[in-house]
Parts: sequence; structure tokens; C-alpha cells
Amino acid sequence: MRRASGIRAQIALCVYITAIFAASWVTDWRVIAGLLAALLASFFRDTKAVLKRTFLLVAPFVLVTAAATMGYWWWAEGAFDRTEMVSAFALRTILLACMTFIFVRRVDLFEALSFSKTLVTVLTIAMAQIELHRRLIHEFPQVARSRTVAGPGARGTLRAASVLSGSLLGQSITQGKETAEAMRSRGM
Amino acid sequence: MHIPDGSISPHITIPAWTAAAPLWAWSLKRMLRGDAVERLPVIGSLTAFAFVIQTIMIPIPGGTSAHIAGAVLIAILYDPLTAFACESLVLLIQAFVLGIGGITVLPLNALALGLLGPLAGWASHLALRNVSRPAALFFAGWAGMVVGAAALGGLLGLQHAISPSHFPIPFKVVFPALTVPHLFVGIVEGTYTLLAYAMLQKVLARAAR
Repeated sequence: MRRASGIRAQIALCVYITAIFAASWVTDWRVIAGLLAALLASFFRDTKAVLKRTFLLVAPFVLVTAAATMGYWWWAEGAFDRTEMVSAFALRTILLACMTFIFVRRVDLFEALSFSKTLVTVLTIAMAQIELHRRLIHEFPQVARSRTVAGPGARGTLRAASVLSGSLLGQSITQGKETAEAMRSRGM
Repeated sequence: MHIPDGSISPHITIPAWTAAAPLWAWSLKRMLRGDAVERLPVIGSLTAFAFVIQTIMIPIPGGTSAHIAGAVLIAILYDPLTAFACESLVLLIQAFVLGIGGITVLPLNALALGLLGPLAGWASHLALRNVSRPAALFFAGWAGMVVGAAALGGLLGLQHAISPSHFPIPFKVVFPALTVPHLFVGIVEGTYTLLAYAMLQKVLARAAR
């Protein structure tokens, strides 16, 4: 799928921001459910991927919050008479998450934010470094486990976490300076 | 502990965008002041660091988990505005990549977790560092975490008072529900701030040699 770029990406960003603010006004759960159905029907090619992502990343939080809210009102008032309010909250959160995931799938984010060169530069550096750090994060627990027979206890885990974060921060600063030198050597 | 998109109405999000926009513009302008080529990569790297550090989950009783923020450490090492810029970028990436937080609530999360929390931590570190450096670092981390969580709890309570259809839980429930667990998570953040700062001093001293 080709992503929108250039001025189209910036127009798409404006449309997306207007749409999410407009959607965040809506409080009737039936209207929100209708909007969600319309959104998924309009972008039917993205529906499967977007729903999968929403259910993995957003739905657990929404369901826990909705269940806790229902539990509270049942405890406080002895009745589930806030169902519509809770449904509106849950559906609105899912609708806005779907809108964001569709936007990210359809639009080149860096092109959309290219109105600020500073922002794009910092984001590019950050995204590249996140990938490098992620690899280290995945390897570190294995290293901590391999150093002990019974596995690290609470103290060992805390110590390993502090060593990891200290080394990540050290690496961040070192890599930041290296990137600066690389940028300077390219005449920036 | 981010506020998700959809739980706050434009009655609050629009004024929050109006308040945060000049601060973002100021922090972006500040990044370009002096040697931008030197400053931008460091800000980018610190953003990546804060993003990654927030993915390390700490299991807490009850089957749930919390995470450290790391913004107070950045505020102590640099300044609160740098911490605000880094945390705002972290929240922007989290919103687009992971669907955590969101765009309408971006300024609320950024002001609470990136400005108020780090500012409280930075100020308490400034006040206590002459008494005891380790105690100042620990308390700074703890205060940053608790103030950030309390600010979010207060905002959600305010949202319930303005429009219960947007957030159905009242202040008397949401404020303690957010603040009390973070009194304990703050201990982890304080310990992390203390240990990571000490570790970083060693790393930097080794690099300087």
C-alpha cells in the first residue's frame, strides 16, 4: 500500500487531527458505534490489521477500566445503571485508536511532520536509537539469568535493571555525540 | 499511567493544547539555539532512552505492572525543559506506534509526566542536594513519579465533574486509585534515579579517561 507523502501527508494530518477532536466530542454510544462501523467499512482493506492491533494494544486497558468502573458503580449504587456511559467511554477509546492506526498505515508520519525540520531530525534519531536499545533490552535479561544458577532474586533484578538503564543512558549520550560528529562531518 | 485518547473531552484538551503549544515551540527553538548539531542528537538519544526505559515493566502485586519514567533523571542531568521535550517526543511515538496515550491528550500527558513531575523532582533535588546527594536523588525520583500521577488523577477527576460521559469514575475514586500505587512505584523510580545517576557518573568518568 502506497502511503501519502509530501503535501498530501500534511493535509491528511490536518484531517486526522480535526477528525479525532470531533470524535472526542461525541458521548452517545450508538453514534460512536456507528462512526466506528463507518470508519472500518471505509477503510476495509485496513480493517483486519487495525482491529488486530487495537485488540492487542488498546482493548485490554479499555476492558479492565470498563470492568473496574462497572464494579465501582455496582458497589456504590448496587446497580449497573451506567452501562451507556461506560460503553461510550470504551467505544470512543477504541474509535480514536482505530483512527490513529489507520492514519499511521496510510500516511508517512515523517512527511506529515515535515513542517518542522527539527522535529523530524530528532524523531529520526530517536527511532533509530530505539531499535538499537530494544535489542539490548531483549538480550540483557538472558545475560542476567545466565550469570546465576537459581536466577536473580529481587535485589539482583533491581541491580541488573539499574546497570541496564545506566548503560543505556551512557550509550545514548555517547551515540548522540557520535551522531553530532557524523552530522557535522557531512556539513550540517 | 497515561491518560488514553477518548477519556478527556475537548473542554480540557483544547485549553491544554493552547497551553502546551508555546512550551513545545519554546523547547524546539531552544534545541536550535547555540550548537544545534551538538544538541539535537543528544535530545534524540535521550528520547530513545526514555522510550525504551518505559518499556521495562515492574511486576506489582495483583497481576498488574508499572514502569519507571526516567524523565526526572533527564531533568537533573540537563534541565526540566529538556525533560519536557524528550517526554513529549516519547508520548508522540507511543501514541502513533503503540496506541498508548493519544494525540488529543498528548499535551495533558506531556504537561503532567514531562513537566510537572520532572519539575517537582528537579526542584526537590535542588533543595536537598546539599543535605545528602543520594537522598536528594531518591526523593527527586519519588516526588516526580507521585506528582505526575497525582496531576493525572486530578485531571481525570476534573473531567468527571465536567462531563461524566467522557470519564465515568469520580475524583474520590480515580485520584487515590492513581496516586496511592504510585507512592510505592515512586520508591522504584527513586531507587532507579539514584542507581542510574551513580552508574552514569561511572560510565562518563570511564569515557573521559
